[in-house]
Amino acid sequence: VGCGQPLEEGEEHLSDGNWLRDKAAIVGFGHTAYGKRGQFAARGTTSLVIEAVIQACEDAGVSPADIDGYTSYSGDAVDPGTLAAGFGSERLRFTGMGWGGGGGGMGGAYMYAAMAVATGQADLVAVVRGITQPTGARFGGMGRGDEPPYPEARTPAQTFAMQARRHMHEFGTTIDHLGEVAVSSRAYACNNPEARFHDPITMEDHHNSRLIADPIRLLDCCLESDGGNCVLITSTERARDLRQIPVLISGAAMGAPRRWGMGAFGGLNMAARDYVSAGQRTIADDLYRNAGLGPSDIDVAMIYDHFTPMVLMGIEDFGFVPQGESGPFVADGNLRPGGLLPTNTHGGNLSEVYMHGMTHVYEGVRQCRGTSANQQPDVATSLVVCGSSPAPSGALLLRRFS
Amino acid sequence: MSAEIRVPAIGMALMGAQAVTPDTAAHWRAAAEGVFTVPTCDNCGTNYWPITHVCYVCGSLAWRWQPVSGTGTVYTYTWIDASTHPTRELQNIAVIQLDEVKGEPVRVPGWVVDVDKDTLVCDLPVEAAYATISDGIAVPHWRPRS
Repeated sequence: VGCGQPLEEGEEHLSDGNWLRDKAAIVGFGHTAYGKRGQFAARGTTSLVIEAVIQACEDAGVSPADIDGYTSYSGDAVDPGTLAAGFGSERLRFTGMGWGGGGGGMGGAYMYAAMAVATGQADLVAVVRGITQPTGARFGGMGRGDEPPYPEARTPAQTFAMQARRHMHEFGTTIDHLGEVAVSSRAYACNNPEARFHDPITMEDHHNSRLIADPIRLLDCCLESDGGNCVLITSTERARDLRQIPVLISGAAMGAPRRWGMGAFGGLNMAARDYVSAGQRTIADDLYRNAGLGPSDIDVAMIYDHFTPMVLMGIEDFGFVPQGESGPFVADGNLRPGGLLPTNTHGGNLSEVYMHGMTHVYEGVRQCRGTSANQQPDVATSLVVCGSSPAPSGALLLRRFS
Repeated sequence: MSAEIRVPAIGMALMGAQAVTPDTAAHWRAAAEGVFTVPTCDNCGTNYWPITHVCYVCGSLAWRWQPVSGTGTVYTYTWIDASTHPTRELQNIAVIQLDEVKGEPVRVPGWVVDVDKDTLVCDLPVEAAYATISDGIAVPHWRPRS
Protein backbone atom coordinates (compact mmCIF):
# COMPACT_ATOMS: atom_id res chain seq x y z
CA VAL A 1 0.00 0.00 0.00
CA GLY A 2 1.43 3.33 -1.01
CA CYS A 3 0.76 6.79 0.20
CA GLY A 4 0.93 10.22 -1.32
CA GLN A 5 3.54 12.41 0.25
CA PRO A 6 4.86 11.64 3.76
CA LEU A 7 2.54 12.76 6.53
CA GLU A 8 3.27 15.64 8.86
CA GLU A 9 4.33 14.96 12.41
CA GLY A 10 1.20 14.27 14.41
CA GLU A 11 -0.85 13.23 11.38
CA GLU A 12 -2.13 9.69 11.14
CA HIS A 13 -3.22 7.40 8.38
CA LEU A 14 -6.95 7.47 8.84
CA SER A 15 -8.26 5.03 6.29
CA ASP A 16 -7.07 1.54 7.10
CA GLY A 17 -10.00 -0.34 5.82
CA ASN A 18 -11.18 -1.90 2.66
CA TRP A 19 -14.70 -0.81 3.52
CA LEU A 20 -15.50 0.36 0.02
CA ARG A 21 -12.83 -1.44 -1.97
CA ASP A 22 -14.23 -2.96 -5.18
CA LYS A 23 -17.78 -3.02 -3.81
CA ALA A 24 -19.18 -0.70 -6.47
CA ALA A 25 -18.58 -0.48 -10.18
CA ILE A 26 -19.01 1.93 -13.05
CA VAL A 27 -21.19 0.16 -15.58
CA GLY A 28 -21.96 2.87 -18.08
CA PHE A 29 -21.40 6.46 -19.02
CA GLY A 30 -22.95 8.86 -21.47
CA HIS A 31 -22.86 12.45 -22.54
CA THR A 32 -24.36 14.85 -25.03
CA ALA A 33 -22.39 16.51 -27.78
CA TYR A 34 -19.89 18.92 -26.28
CA GLY A 35 -20.56 22.58 -26.94
CA LYS A 36 -18.62 25.73 -26.49
CA ARG A 37 -19.47 28.04 -23.63
CA GLY A 38 -23.14 28.99 -23.85
CA GLN A 39 -23.95 26.90 -26.90
CA PHE A 40 -26.64 24.86 -25.14
CA ALA A 41 -27.87 27.53 -22.76
CA ALA A 42 -31.26 27.82 -24.42
CA ARG A 43 -31.78 24.06 -24.16
CA GLY A 44 -31.01 23.95 -20.47
CA THR A 45 -29.23 21.49 -18.23
CA THR A 46 -32.20 19.24 -17.42
CA SER A 47 -32.64 18.30 -21.06
CA LEU A 48 -28.88 17.81 -21.45
CA VAL A 49 -28.68 15.53 -18.45
CA ILE A 50 -31.69 13.48 -19.55
CA GLU A 51 -30.00 12.79 -22.88
CA ALA A 52 -26.77 11.86 -21.09
CA VAL A 53 -28.61 9.47 -18.75
CA ILE A 54 -30.23 7.73 -21.71
CA GLN A 55 -26.84 7.38 -23.40
CA ALA A 56 -25.33 5.96 -20.22
CA CYS A 57 -28.16 3.46 -19.86
CA GLU A 58 -27.67 2.27 -23.44
CA ASP A 59 -23.98 1.84 -22.70
CA ALA A 60 -24.77 -0.21 -19.59
CA GLY A 61 -27.74 -2.13 -20.95
CA VAL A 62 -30.22 -0.88 -18.34
CA SER A 63 -33.37 1.23 -18.43
CA PRO A 64 -33.43 4.80 -17.08
CA ALA A 65 -36.45 3.71 -15.05
CA ASP A 66 -34.13 1.38 -13.11
CA ILE A 67 -32.19 4.32 -11.68
CA ASP A 68 -33.17 4.79 -8.05
CA GLY A 69 -30.48 7.24 -6.95
CA TYR A 70 -28.86 10.43 -8.19
CA THR A 71 -25.82 12.33 -7.03
CA SER A 72 -24.15 15.47 -8.28
CA TYR A 73 -21.86 18.26 -7.16
CA SER A 74 -20.96 21.89 -7.55
CA GLY A 75 -24.53 22.93 -6.83
CA ASP A 76 -25.83 21.38 -10.03
CA ALA A 77 -29.30 22.75 -10.73
CA VAL A 78 -30.71 19.52 -12.19
CA ASP A 79 -33.37 18.15 -9.88
CA PRO A 80 -33.38 14.42 -9.09
CA GLY A 81 -37.15 14.35 -8.54
CA THR A 82 -37.68 15.73 -12.01
CA LEU A 83 -35.38 13.10 -13.51
CA ALA A 84 -37.01 10.22 -11.65
CA ALA A 85 -40.47 11.44 -12.61
CA GLY A 86 -39.47 11.93 -16.22
CA PHE A 87 -38.04 8.44 -16.50
CA GLY A 88 -41.01 6.84 -14.77
CA SER A 89 -38.86 5.33 -12.04
CA GLU A 90 -40.81 3.16 -9.65
CA ARG A 91 -39.30 5.07 -6.79
CA LEU A 92 -36.40 7.31 -5.84
CA ARG A 93 -34.37 5.99 -2.91
CA PHE A 94 -31.17 8.00 -2.67
CA THR A 95 -29.77 11.43 -3.56
CA GLY A 96 -26.56 13.19 -2.63
CA MET A 97 -25.17 16.59 -3.51
CA GLY A 98 -21.47 17.12 -2.91
CA TRP A 99 -19.91 20.19 -1.44
CA GLY A 100 -16.78 21.46 -3.12
CA GLY A 101 -17.15 23.81 -6.04
CA GLY A 102 -16.02 23.22 -9.57
CA GLY A 103 -14.67 19.74 -10.10
CA GLY A 104 -13.59 19.35 -6.49
CA GLY A 105 -16.90 17.99 -5.30
CA MET A 106 -17.00 15.33 -7.97
CA GLY A 107 -15.14 12.88 -5.74
CA GLY A 108 -17.89 13.16 -3.19
CA ALA A 109 -20.60 12.57 -5.76
CA TYR A 110 -18.95 9.29 -6.80
CA MET A 111 -18.20 8.31 -3.24
CA TYR A 112 -21.83 8.81 -2.19
CA ALA A 113 -22.99 6.74 -5.14
CA ALA A 114 -20.54 3.94 -4.38
CA MET A 115 -21.47 3.95 -0.69
CA ALA A 116 -25.17 3.89 -1.54
CA VAL A 117 -24.97 0.82 -3.76
CA ALA A 118 -22.45 -0.91 -1.49
CA THR A 119 -24.77 -0.54 1.50
CA GLY A 120 -27.97 -1.35 -0.33
CA GLN A 121 -29.43 2.12 0.01
CA ALA A 122 -29.81 2.18 -3.74
CA ASP A 123 -29.46 -0.27 -6.58
CA LEU A 124 -28.41 1.90 -9.51
CA VAL A 125 -27.15 5.44 -9.00
CA ALA A 126 -26.56 8.02 -11.71
CA VAL A 127 -23.88 10.63 -11.12
CA VAL A 128 -25.00 13.56 -13.24
CA ARG A 129 -23.65 16.97 -14.15
CA GLY A 130 -25.28 19.43 -16.52
CA ILE A 131 -23.38 22.50 -17.59
CA THR A 132 -24.43 25.54 -19.54
CA GLN A 133 -21.86 28.07 -18.56
CA PRO A 134 -23.64 31.43 -18.71
CA THR A 135 -26.89 30.38 -17.08
CA GLY A 136 -25.62 31.29 -13.66
CA ALA A 137 -22.84 33.50 -12.42
CA ARG A 138 -19.61 33.19 -14.40
CA PHE A 139 -18.18 29.88 -13.32
CA GLY A 140 -15.22 30.24 -11.02
CA GLY A 141 -16.10 33.75 -9.96
CA MET A 142 -15.83 33.81 -6.22
CA GLY A 143 -16.83 35.54 -3.14
CA ARG A 144 -14.73 34.54 -0.22
CA GLY A 145 -16.93 34.42 2.78
CA ASP A 146 -15.98 36.70 5.57
CA GLU A 147 -12.55 37.63 4.38
CA PRO A 148 -12.07 41.31 3.77
CA PRO A 149 -12.72 41.49 0.07
CA TYR A 150 -9.45 42.57 -1.39
CA PRO A 151 -11.15 42.44 -4.70
CA GLU A 152 -8.27 41.88 -7.06
CA ALA A 153 -7.77 38.17 -6.45
CA ARG A 154 -11.07 37.17 -7.90
CA THR A 155 -10.42 34.62 -10.59
CA PRO A 156 -9.14 31.06 -10.42
CA ALA A 157 -6.36 31.87 -12.90
CA GLN A 158 -5.02 34.47 -10.52
CA THR A 159 -5.08 32.33 -7.41
CA PHE A 160 -3.58 29.30 -9.16
CA ALA A 161 -0.95 31.57 -10.70
CA MET A 162 0.16 32.55 -7.22
CA GLN A 163 0.51 28.90 -6.20
CA ALA A 164 2.47 28.25 -9.38
CA ARG A 165 4.75 31.21 -8.74
CA ARG A 166 5.60 29.97 -5.26
CA HIS A 167 6.15 26.45 -6.60
CA MET A 168 8.58 27.88 -9.16
CA HIS A 169 10.32 29.87 -6.45
CA GLU A 170 10.74 26.94 -4.10
CA PHE A 171 11.44 24.13 -6.54
CA GLY A 172 12.70 25.67 -9.75
CA THR A 173 9.63 24.68 -11.74
CA THR A 174 9.67 26.41 -15.12
CA ILE A 175 7.34 27.73 -17.80
CA ASP A 176 8.46 24.80 -19.94
CA HIS A 177 7.14 22.42 -17.30
CA LEU A 178 3.73 24.10 -17.42
CA GLY A 179 3.93 24.07 -21.20
CA GLU A 180 4.58 20.36 -21.39
CA VAL A 181 1.28 19.69 -19.62
CA ALA A 182 -0.55 21.76 -22.21
CA VAL A 183 1.32 20.39 -25.21
CA SER A 184 1.01 16.74 -24.19
CA SER A 185 -2.72 17.14 -23.51
CA ARG A 186 -3.26 18.66 -26.93
CA ALA A 187 -1.35 15.84 -28.58
CA TYR A 188 -3.77 13.37 -27.01
CA ALA A 189 -6.78 15.52 -27.97
CA CYS A 190 -5.68 15.46 -31.61
CA ASN A 191 -6.41 11.71 -31.67
CA ASN A 192 -9.70 12.00 -29.79
CA PRO A 193 -12.61 12.55 -32.18
CA GLU A 194 -14.76 13.95 -29.37
CA ALA A 195 -12.23 16.60 -28.36
CA ARG A 196 -13.06 20.20 -29.14
CA PHE A 197 -9.49 21.02 -30.17
CA HIS A 198 -7.62 19.05 -32.81
CA ASP A 199 -4.83 21.41 -33.83
CA PRO A 200 -1.46 20.45 -32.38
CA ILE A 201 0.35 23.07 -30.32
CA THR A 202 4.05 23.49 -29.72
CA MET A 203 5.98 24.71 -26.73
CA GLU A 204 6.52 27.92 -28.67
CA ASP A 205 2.75 28.31 -29.14
CA HIS A 206 2.37 27.90 -25.40
CA HIS A 207 4.99 30.51 -24.59
CA ASN A 208 3.53 32.93 -27.12
CA SER A 209 -0.03 32.58 -25.89
CA ARG A 210 -1.48 35.56 -24.09
CA LEU A 211 -0.48 36.09 -20.49
CA ILE A 212 -3.55 35.80 -18.26
CA ALA A 213 -2.05 35.94 -14.77
CA ASP A 214 1.70 35.53 -14.73
CA PRO A 215 2.95 32.77 -15.04
CA ILE A 216 -0.35 31.40 -16.38
CA ARG A 217 -0.91 31.91 -20.09
CA LEU A 218 -3.99 31.25 -22.17
CA LEU A 219 -2.82 27.73 -23.07
CA ASP A 220 -2.40 26.94 -19.36
CA CYS A 221 -6.15 27.46 -18.87
CA CYS A 222 -8.98 25.01 -19.42
CA LEU A 223 -11.86 25.51 -21.80
CA GLU A 224 -15.35 26.56 -20.87
CA SER A 225 -17.94 24.22 -22.28
CA ASP A 226 -21.57 23.13 -22.27
CA GLY A 227 -22.90 19.58 -22.05
CA GLY A 228 -24.80 16.92 -20.15
CA ASN A 229 -23.05 14.08 -18.35
CA CYS A 230 -23.90 10.83 -16.61
CA VAL A 231 -22.03 7.90 -15.07
CA LEU A 232 -23.91 4.85 -13.77
CA ILE A 233 -22.81 3.03 -10.63
CA THR A 234 -24.14 -0.20 -9.22
CA SER A 235 -22.91 -2.94 -6.93
CA THR A 236 -20.08 -5.08 -8.27
CA GLU A 237 -22.32 -8.09 -7.88
CA ARG A 238 -24.96 -6.69 -10.21
CA ALA A 239 -22.36 -5.16 -12.53
CA ARG A 240 -21.22 -8.59 -13.65
CA ASP A 241 -24.55 -9.18 -15.35
CA LEU A 242 -24.55 -6.00 -17.38
CA ARG A 243 -23.33 -5.20 -20.88
CA GLN A 244 -19.84 -3.78 -20.26
CA ILE A 245 -16.75 -5.01 -18.50
CA PRO A 246 -17.29 -3.52 -15.03
CA VAL A 247 -14.80 -0.94 -13.90
CA LEU A 248 -14.49 -1.27 -10.16
CA ILE A 249 -14.24 1.65 -7.80
CA SER A 250 -11.29 0.28 -5.86
CA GLY A 251 -10.94 3.43 -3.85
CA ALA A 252 -12.73 6.71 -3.34
CA ALA A 253 -11.62 9.55 -1.11
CA MET A 254 -12.38 13.18 -0.47
CA GLY A 255 -11.20 15.92 1.82
CA ALA A 256 -8.56 18.54 2.39
CA PRO A 257 -5.48 18.92 4.59
CA ARG A 258 -5.41 20.83 7.87
CA ARG A 259 -6.38 24.51 7.69
CA TRP A 260 -6.85 24.26 3.95
CA GLY A 261 -9.96 26.43 4.10
CA MET A 262 -10.80 27.53 0.60
CA GLY A 263 -7.29 26.72 -0.49
CA ALA A 264 -5.61 29.19 -2.76
CA PHE A 265 -8.98 30.90 -3.24
CA GLY A 266 -8.70 32.60 0.11
CA GLY A 267 -7.64 30.26 2.89
CA LEU A 268 -3.95 30.95 2.30
CA ASN A 269 -3.06 29.76 5.80
CA MET A 270 -2.55 26.04 5.38
CA ALA A 271 0.89 24.57 6.10
CA ALA A 272 3.56 25.97 3.81
CA ARG A 273 4.06 22.62 2.09
CA ASP A 274 0.36 22.49 1.30
CA TYR A 275 0.23 25.97 -0.24
CA VAL A 276 2.54 24.69 -2.99
CA SER A 277 0.35 21.64 -3.54
CA ALA A 278 -3.00 20.64 -4.95
CA GLY A 279 -4.19 20.06 -1.39
CA GLN A 280 -4.67 16.40 -2.16
CA ARG A 281 -1.96 14.56 -0.22
CA THR A 282 -4.37 13.48 2.53
CA ILE A 283 -6.85 12.37 -0.12
CA ALA A 284 -4.10 10.31 -1.75
CA ASP A 285 -3.28 8.70 1.55
CA ASP A 286 -6.91 7.72 2.16
CA LEU A 287 -7.38 6.61 -1.43
CA TYR A 288 -4.39 4.30 -1.59
CA ARG A 289 -5.19 2.73 1.79
CA ASN A 290 -8.79 2.35 0.76
CA ALA A 291 -7.78 0.58 -2.44
CA GLY A 292 -4.82 -1.33 -1.09
CA LEU A 293 -2.74 0.05 -3.93
CA GLY A 294 -0.03 2.65 -4.37
CA PRO A 295 1.40 4.98 -7.00
CA SER A 296 3.43 2.20 -8.60
CA ASP A 297 0.18 0.31 -9.30
CA ILE A 298 -1.32 3.15 -11.38
CA ASP A 299 -1.25 2.66 -15.14
CA VAL A 300 -2.80 5.93 -16.31
CA ALA A 301 -3.88 9.12 -14.56
CA MET A 302 -6.62 11.61 -15.30
CA ILE A 303 -5.68 14.65 -13.27
CA TYR A 304 -8.06 17.58 -13.20
CA ASP A 305 -6.42 20.20 -15.35
CA HIS A 306 -8.24 23.47 -14.83
CA PHE A 307 -4.77 25.01 -14.97
CA THR A 308 -1.51 23.32 -15.91
CA PRO A 309 0.33 23.90 -12.60
CA MET A 310 -2.27 21.87 -10.77
CA VAL A 311 -1.43 18.79 -12.81
CA LEU A 312 2.18 19.14 -11.66
CA MET A 313 1.13 19.50 -8.03
CA GLY A 314 -1.33 16.62 -8.35
CA ILE A 315 1.45 14.35 -9.60
CA GLU A 316 3.33 15.25 -6.42
CA ASP A 317 0.38 14.90 -4.05
CA PHE A 318 -0.39 11.42 -5.34
CA GLY A 319 3.16 10.32 -4.70
CA PHE A 320 4.48 9.73 -8.21
CA VAL A 321 7.48 11.92 -7.36
CA PRO A 322 8.64 13.70 -4.20
CA GLN A 323 7.24 17.19 -3.76
CA GLY A 324 8.93 19.66 -6.06
CA GLU A 325 10.08 17.12 -8.64
CA SER A 326 7.10 17.06 -10.98
CA GLY A 327 8.68 19.53 -13.40
CA PRO A 328 11.61 17.33 -14.45
CA PHE A 329 9.23 14.33 -14.38
CA VAL A 330 6.96 15.82 -17.05
CA ALA A 331 9.90 17.26 -19.00
CA ASP A 332 11.12 13.68 -19.44
CA GLY A 333 7.95 12.89 -21.38
CA ASN A 334 6.32 10.83 -18.66
CA LEU A 335 2.83 12.19 -19.40
CA ARG A 336 3.11 10.99 -23.00
CA PRO A 337 2.38 7.57 -24.51
CA GLY A 338 4.93 5.13 -23.17
CA GLY A 339 5.84 7.42 -20.28
CA LEU A 340 5.75 6.39 -16.64
CA LEU A 341 2.35 8.04 -16.16
CA PRO A 342 0.35 8.64 -19.34
CA THR A 343 -1.89 11.47 -18.18
CA ASN A 344 -5.12 13.00 -19.46
CA THR A 345 -5.15 10.76 -22.49
CA HIS A 346 -8.46 12.28 -23.61
CA GLY A 347 -6.98 15.77 -23.80
CA GLY A 348 -8.35 16.86 -20.45
CA ASN A 349 -10.05 20.08 -19.51
CA LEU A 350 -7.33 21.86 -21.42
CA SER A 351 -7.96 20.39 -24.85
CA GLU A 352 -10.85 17.91 -24.88
CA VAL A 353 -13.73 19.63 -23.07
CA TYR A 354 -14.43 21.10 -19.65
CA MET A 355 -17.11 19.00 -17.98
CA HIS A 356 -15.87 19.58 -14.43
CA GLY A 357 -14.11 16.24 -14.31
CA MET A 358 -16.79 13.93 -15.67
CA THR A 359 -14.78 13.28 -18.82
CA HIS A 360 -11.79 12.33 -16.68
CA VAL A 361 -13.93 9.52 -15.28
CA TYR A 362 -15.07 8.52 -18.79
CA GLU A 363 -11.47 8.30 -19.93
CA GLY A 364 -10.40 6.37 -16.85
CA VAL A 365 -13.20 3.91 -17.63
CA ARG A 366 -12.29 3.72 -21.32
CA GLN A 367 -8.67 2.96 -20.48
CA CYS A 368 -9.79 0.13 -18.19
CA ARG A 369 -12.19 -1.19 -20.82
CA GLY A 370 -9.55 -0.87 -23.53
CA THR A 371 -11.58 1.51 -25.68
CA SER A 372 -9.74 4.85 -25.50
CA ALA A 373 -8.82 6.71 -28.66
CA ASN A 374 -5.40 6.88 -27.03
CA GLN A 375 -5.48 3.43 -25.50
CA GLN A 376 -2.41 2.66 -23.43
CA PRO A 377 -1.23 -0.95 -23.27
CA ASP A 378 -2.37 -3.31 -20.53
CA VAL A 379 -4.26 -0.83 -18.40
CA ALA A 380 -5.64 -2.34 -15.22
CA THR A 381 -5.89 0.79 -13.06
CA SER A 382 -6.79 4.42 -13.68
CA LEU A 383 -6.39 7.21 -11.17
CA VAL A 384 -8.97 9.99 -11.44
CA VAL A 385 -8.08 13.16 -9.54
CA CYS A 386 -10.79 15.75 -8.98
CA GLY A 387 -10.46 19.51 -9.14
CA SER A 388 -8.04 21.03 -6.68
CA SER A 389 -8.59 23.97 -4.38
CA PRO A 390 -12.11 23.62 -3.02
CA ALA A 391 -12.71 21.63 0.13
CA PRO A 392 -13.45 18.87 -0.36
CA SER A 393 -11.55 17.76 -3.37
CA GLY A 394 -11.41 14.05 -4.11
CA ALA A 395 -10.10 11.15 -6.12
CA LEU A 396 -11.12 7.76 -7.46
CA LEU A 397 -9.07 4.69 -8.16
CA LEU A 398 -10.63 2.62 -10.92
CA ARG A 399 -9.71 -0.96 -11.72
CA ARG A 400 -10.65 -3.25 -14.56
CA PHE A 401 -12.77 -6.17 -13.33
CA SER A 402 -10.90 -9.44 -13.67
CA MET B 1 1.55 59.93 3.59
CA SER B 2 -1.42 57.70 2.95
CA ALA B 3 -2.82 60.04 0.33
CA GLU B 4 0.25 59.50 -1.82
CA ILE B 5 -0.48 55.82 -2.31
CA ARG B 6 -2.36 55.07 -5.48
CA VAL B 7 -4.91 52.32 -5.08
CA PRO B 8 -5.65 50.47 -8.31
CA ALA B 9 -8.76 51.91 -9.88
CA ILE B 10 -10.57 48.60 -9.94
CA GLY B 11 -9.98 48.35 -6.23
CA MET B 12 -11.41 51.79 -5.71
CA ALA B 13 -14.48 50.84 -7.67
CA LEU B 14 -15.06 47.59 -5.89
CA MET B 15 -14.22 48.71 -2.40
CA GLY B 16 -16.92 51.06 -1.24
CA ALA B 17 -19.93 49.77 0.56
CA GLN B 18 -19.53 46.06 -0.05
CA ALA B 19 -16.15 45.97 1.61
CA VAL B 20 -17.34 47.44 4.88
CA THR B 21 -19.36 44.79 6.65
CA PRO B 22 -20.05 44.35 10.35
CA ASP B 23 -17.23 41.79 10.48
CA THR B 24 -14.69 43.77 8.49
CA ALA B 25 -15.35 47.42 9.33
CA ALA B 26 -12.79 47.47 12.12
CA HIS B 27 -10.09 46.32 9.69
CA TRP B 28 -10.69 49.23 7.34
CA ARG B 29 -11.08 51.73 10.16
CA ALA B 30 -7.79 50.64 11.71
CA ALA B 31 -6.15 51.06 8.31
CA ALA B 32 -7.35 54.65 8.26
CA GLU B 33 -5.36 55.09 11.47
CA GLY B 34 -2.31 53.53 9.82
CA VAL B 35 -2.63 50.23 11.67
CA PHE B 36 -2.70 46.77 10.07
CA THR B 37 -4.96 44.31 11.88
CA VAL B 38 -5.78 40.63 11.62
CA PRO B 39 -8.43 38.46 13.30
CA THR B 40 -7.12 37.63 16.77
CA CYS B 41 -8.40 35.33 19.47
CA ASP B 42 -9.60 37.21 22.54
CA ASN B 43 -8.75 34.27 24.75
CA CYS B 44 -5.25 33.15 23.70
CA GLY B 45 -4.10 35.94 21.41
CA THR B 46 -3.53 33.75 18.35
CA ASN B 47 -3.48 35.74 15.12
CA TYR B 48 -5.10 34.12 12.11
CA TRP B 49 -6.58 34.72 8.67
CA PRO B 50 -9.23 34.75 7.31
CA ILE B 51 -12.09 35.23 9.76
CA THR B 52 -13.14 31.80 10.95
CA HIS B 53 -15.33 32.76 13.93
CA VAL B 54 -13.49 30.28 16.13
CA CYS B 55 -9.86 30.05 17.25
CA TYR B 56 -8.07 27.08 15.71
CA VAL B 57 -5.83 26.85 18.80
CA CYS B 58 -8.15 27.20 21.81
CA GLY B 59 -11.62 27.08 20.34
CA SER B 60 -12.69 30.43 21.70
CA LEU B 61 -15.49 32.13 19.79
CA ALA B 62 -14.42 35.59 20.95
CA TRP B 63 -12.22 37.46 18.50
CA ARG B 64 -11.47 40.93 17.30
CA TRP B 65 -9.22 42.73 14.84
CA GLN B 66 -5.92 43.37 16.60
CA PRO B 67 -2.82 45.21 15.40
CA VAL B 68 0.20 43.29 14.14
CA SER B 69 3.53 44.69 13.07
CA GLY B 70 2.51 45.67 9.56
CA THR B 71 5.65 44.21 8.04
CA GLY B 72 6.11 41.01 6.14
CA THR B 73 7.49 39.40 3.02
CA VAL B 74 5.99 38.68 -0.36
CA TYR B 75 5.07 35.01 -0.24
CA THR B 76 3.90 34.90 -3.83
CA TYR B 77 2.41 37.16 -6.48
CA THR B 78 0.98 37.35 -9.96
CA TRP B 79 0.82 40.06 -12.60
CA ILE B 80 -2.53 40.32 -14.30
CA ASP B 81 -2.74 40.65 -18.05
CA ALA B 82 -3.13 44.37 -18.61
CA SER B 83 -5.03 44.16 -21.87
CA THR B 84 -8.06 42.51 -20.33
CA HIS B 85 -8.00 44.32 -17.04
CA PRO B 86 -10.66 46.98 -16.60
CA THR B 87 -8.01 49.56 -15.82
CA ARG B 88 -5.77 48.57 -18.74
CA GLU B 89 -2.93 48.91 -16.29
CA LEU B 90 -0.55 46.14 -15.35
CA GLN B 91 -1.34 45.17 -11.81
CA ASN B 92 -0.17 42.65 -9.31
CA ILE B 93 -1.87 40.63 -6.65
CA ALA B 94 0.24 39.20 -3.88
CA VAL B 95 0.12 37.06 -0.79
CA ILE B 96 2.02 38.61 2.11
CA GLN B 97 3.39 36.52 4.96
CA LEU B 98 3.33 38.68 8.07
CA ASP B 99 6.22 39.09 10.47
CA GLU B 100 5.85 38.61 14.22
CA VAL B 101 2.49 36.94 14.63
CA LYS B 102 1.30 34.69 17.42
CA GLY B 103 0.56 31.19 16.19
CA GLU B 104 1.28 29.62 12.84
CA PRO B 105 2.42 31.87 9.98
CA VAL B 106 -0.26 34.30 8.83
CA ARG B 107 -0.63 35.07 5.13
CA VAL B 108 -2.91 37.79 3.79
CA PRO B 109 -3.87 38.89 0.28
CA GLY B 110 -2.80 42.31 -0.91
CA TRP B 111 -1.27 44.54 -3.56
CA VAL B 112 2.34 45.63 -3.77
CA VAL B 113 3.03 49.18 -4.93
CA ASP B 114 6.28 50.83 -6.04
CA VAL B 115 7.47 47.66 -7.78
CA ASP B 116 7.73 46.48 -11.34
CA LYS B 117 8.15 43.12 -13.01
CA ASP B 118 11.84 43.09 -12.18
CA THR B 119 11.64 44.12 -8.55
CA LEU B 120 8.61 42.18 -7.30
CA VAL B 121 10.00 38.81 -6.19
CA CYS B 122 9.14 36.13 -3.67
CA ASP B 123 10.47 36.88 -0.17
CA LEU B 124 10.72 40.65 -0.85
CA PRO B 125 10.46 42.48 2.50
CA VAL B 126 7.44 44.80 2.53
CA GLU B 127 5.57 47.07 4.90
CA ALA B 128 1.96 48.08 5.00
CA ALA B 129 0.86 51.38 3.52
CA TYR B 130 -2.62 52.81 3.56
CA ALA B 131 -4.79 54.64 1.07
CA THR B 132 -7.86 56.50 2.17
CA ILE B 133 -11.03 55.44 0.38
CA SER B 134 -13.54 57.56 2.26
CA ASP B 135 -13.85 59.22 5.61
CA GLY B 136 -12.44 56.85 8.20
CA ILE B 137 -11.93 53.98 5.76
CA ALA B 138 -8.59 53.06 4.21
CA VAL B 139 -7.18 50.14 2.23
CA PRO B 140 -3.94 48.50 3.32
CA HIS B 141 -1.47 47.46 0.70
CA TRP B 142 2.24 46.85 0.68
CA ARG B 143 5.45 48.50 -0.50
CA PRO B 144 9.09 47.47 -0.39
CA ARG B 145 10.65 47.98 3.01
CA SER B 146 13.63 50.27 2.92
